[in-house]
Amino acid sequence: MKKSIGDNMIPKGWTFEQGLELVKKAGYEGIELWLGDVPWFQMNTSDAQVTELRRKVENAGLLVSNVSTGLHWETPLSARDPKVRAQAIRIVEREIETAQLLGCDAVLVVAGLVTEEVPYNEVYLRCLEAMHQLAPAAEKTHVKIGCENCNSEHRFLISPREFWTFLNEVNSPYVGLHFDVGNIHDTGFAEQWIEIHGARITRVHLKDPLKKRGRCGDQPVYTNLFLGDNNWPAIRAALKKVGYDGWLIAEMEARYKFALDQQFYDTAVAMQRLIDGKL
Amino acid sequence: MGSLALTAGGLCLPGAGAPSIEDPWEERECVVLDLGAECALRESLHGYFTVVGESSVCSAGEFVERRHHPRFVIVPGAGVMDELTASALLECLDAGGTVVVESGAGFWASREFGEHQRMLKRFFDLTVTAPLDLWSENRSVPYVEYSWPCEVMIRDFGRAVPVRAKKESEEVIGLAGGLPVALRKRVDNGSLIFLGSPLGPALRAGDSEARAWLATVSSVI
Repeated sequence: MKKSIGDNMIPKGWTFEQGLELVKKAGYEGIELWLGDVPWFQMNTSDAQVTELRRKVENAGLLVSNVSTGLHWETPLSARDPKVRAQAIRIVEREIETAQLLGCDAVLVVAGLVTEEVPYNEVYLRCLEAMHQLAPAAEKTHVKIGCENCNSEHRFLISPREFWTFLNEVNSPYVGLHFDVGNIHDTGFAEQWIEIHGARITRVHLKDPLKKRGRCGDQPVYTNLFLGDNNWPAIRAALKKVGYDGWLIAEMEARYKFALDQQFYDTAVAMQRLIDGKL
Repeated sequence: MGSLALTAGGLCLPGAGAPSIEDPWEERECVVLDLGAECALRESLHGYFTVVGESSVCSAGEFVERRHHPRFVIVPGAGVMDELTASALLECLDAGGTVVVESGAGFWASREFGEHQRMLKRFFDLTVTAPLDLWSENRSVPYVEYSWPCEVMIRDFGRAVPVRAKKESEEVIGLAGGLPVALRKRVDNGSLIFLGSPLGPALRAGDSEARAWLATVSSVI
């Protein structure tokens, strides 16, 4: 397994190159690029500019682990407005295009957003349709779409079995689960999700939840690795059991208030301990 | 007129099964009209498929050409409509049929919506106003309350097209938070029903009250 971290963690005001230098020095092998979240990677970033990003990443001695995006929170694949859905599809298509240019083979998608207004059943059907529409492009380019388990954040596919059923209905080897070990909160156990989904896991996001806290105003429900309530030995064992040997990507919602670069070092060390089984 | 049966798990209307070989139209009492590019909400069309059956769907062109007058015509997700299609629908009404026109223009910008408004006024003498986002201000109850032909609550579609009942012959049959979004009226010998909050997506999502409402409408015509 290899370590990566999101470029959206690079401190504000830093350049991409400064961020890459920090990521490399801190001990990561890769970086996750967030489409729409960072100044250097937006929907209107040209192919030539994306290729240049890859060159910078590789010059820094790193690889791009995957492409992610948070744009679907505002532009969901499950929106009622057909024009919004068309935009959402375009975002995934751009993720796939840029993943190819960046030399990686996985993208993250937040599939669906259940709200008081847009109910679960509608969201389910529209997400299924969206994945059926996108799967051929993923298959053609060999770039896997990983639907992320945002659980109670998007109130959709909350349990591992629901997610399993959804992926069965999508029925494409190129649409799987971008598994976040922290998003489950207290609705379940990460190691059980891993056992159930196994080979369908495209990438793994790492964070540690404070399960008893719940969302409370602006207080974070996550903390640094090994400080929260995840059973890390069980998670590591489950990853080994299912043969997952891919990228582990730090997605730290709780950020250091001071010495921001130190979080990169600390997280990388924790991730390496997890990989080495030194828990 | 004959009653239309509700079967377990779905809506059974005469002619909704496989058409006969000789003339598929003769058997069809119910038609779901696909306006093609002029259908503004194809998801709604698919919702009606799931209940009424795909064999009841026909394109606007075919509908105009055959000039058959089915007893029940549903126009899902209507955007704009040409004169020929509208005339064919008016002929159905004149022949004593029931036509359901469902607006699909709730998400349209004001210029496009103006065309939809004018179309409804010109062909069906329906007065609708600009779409409202039902959820823009503290909405807590997500349902349209229908009072005819049965009292049911069906989930709204977020954006609804309000309709005005101007004459005594026009009856408001659906309210979303007190706002009229569904109406029925006599047109010639038939009955026109307007739905300003699309029903099709609720049918597709398995809303059992939506299915019951449609079944009851089809049974009273």
